[in-house]
Amino acid sequence: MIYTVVMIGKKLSSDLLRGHTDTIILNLLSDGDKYGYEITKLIHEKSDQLYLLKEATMYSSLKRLEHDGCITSYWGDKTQGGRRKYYSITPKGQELYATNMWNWTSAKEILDKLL
Amino acid sequence: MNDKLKQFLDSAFKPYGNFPARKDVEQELLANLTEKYSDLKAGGKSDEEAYQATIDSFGDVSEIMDQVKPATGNQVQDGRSVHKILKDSFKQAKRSKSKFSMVEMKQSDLSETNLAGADFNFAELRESNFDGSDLTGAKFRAADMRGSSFKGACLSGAKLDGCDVSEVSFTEANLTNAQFKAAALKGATFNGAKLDGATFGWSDLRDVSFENQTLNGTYFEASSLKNTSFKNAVLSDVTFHHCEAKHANFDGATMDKVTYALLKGAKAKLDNVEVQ
Repeated sequence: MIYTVVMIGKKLSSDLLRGHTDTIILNLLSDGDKYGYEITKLIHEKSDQLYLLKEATMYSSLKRLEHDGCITSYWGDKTQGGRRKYYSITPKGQELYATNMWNWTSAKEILDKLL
Repeated sequence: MNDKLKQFLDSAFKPYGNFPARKDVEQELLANLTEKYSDLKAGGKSDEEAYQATIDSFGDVSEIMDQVKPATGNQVQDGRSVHKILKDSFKQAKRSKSKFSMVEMKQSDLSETNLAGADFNFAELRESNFDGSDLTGAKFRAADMRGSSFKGACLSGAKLDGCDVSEVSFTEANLTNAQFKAAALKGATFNGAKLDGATFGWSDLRDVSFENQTLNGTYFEASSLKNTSFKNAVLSDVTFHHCEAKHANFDGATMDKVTYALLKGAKAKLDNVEVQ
C-alpha cells in the first residue's frame, strides 16, 4: 500500500518536472554549448541523481526549441558512437528563459502560500 | 555494442519510414546512447545491464516524432503524390493489350470465373458481379467498379491503383497483398475479408469499415481515415504512415505497441484500446 502511494507520488512529480524540461535545458545552455547526452547527464547530476530525463523527452524538447528559434545546433567531432550535435542558446532563447523563470517564481510564491 | 544500439534505434524508427531527418536523428541519438552505455560500463555494470539501462532510459519514440515532422500532406520523401501515382498507373494501364482493357463491361456477370492475372486496366465495370471469382494478381488500374461486388473473390496480389471501388462489397474476399494506391474506397465494406499485407496508399477510405477484422502487416499511408471504423479489430504490425487518424474509430480494438505508438502519433483516439 505504502509502495503504491510512493509510486503515485513519483509519477506526479515526474509529470510536474517534465513540464519544465524546456526551461531546464535553456538554463544549462546559458552556461555554454552542450550536446544531448551531456544535458541528460548534467540534469541527473545536478538533481542529485533524483531525476533521470528520458532521452526521447530531452530530444523532443531540443527539437521543439530549435524549431522555435530558441536554440541553434551544429555538428561537433565524430566520436566512437556517432557524431555529437551541439546546441547553443539564442537571444530568443534567453528571453524565453527569463519569461519562464519569472512565471515559475511567481507561481512558486503563490503555491508556497497555498500548499 | 555500437551495432546493438544501432539496431535498437533502427527498429524504434522503422515504423516511421525514411522521414527526411532520419539519418541525422539516428546518428545524434546513437552518439548519446553509446556514451551513456560507456559511462554505465565504466561505473561497473555488465554488458547486458548497461545495455538494458541504456535502452530503458530511451523513452517513447513517438515523443520525438511529434517534433520531427515527416514530409507532410500527400507528398513523401521521393516526391510521389496522388497525381504522380495516377499518371504512372495510367501509363502502365495504357500499355496493356488485354481483351478486357479499356472495355465497356457495365453490369457484367463474371462470378465464379477464373480470371487470375486478367488485365482490366481502364475498364468500365460498374455494377459488375465478381462473386467467388479467382482474380489472383489481376490488374484493375484506373478501372471504374462502382457498385460492383467481389464477395468471396480471391484478389490476392491484385493491383487496384487509381480504381474507383466506392460502395463495393469485398465481403469474405481474399485481398492478401492487394494494392490500392490513389484509389477511391469510400463506403466500401470488407466484412470477413483477408487483408494481410494489403496496401492502402494515398486513398480515400472515408466511411470504410474494418470492424472485427484481423489486420496483419496491412499498410496505410497518406490516406484519409475520416469515419473509418476499426471497431473491435485486431491490428498487428499495421503501419499508419502520414495518416490523419483523428476521426477514425478504434473502440475495442486490440493492437501491438508499435501500432499503438504510430496511431498515437497520428492523433488517433485510443482510450478504449487494448495494447498487447
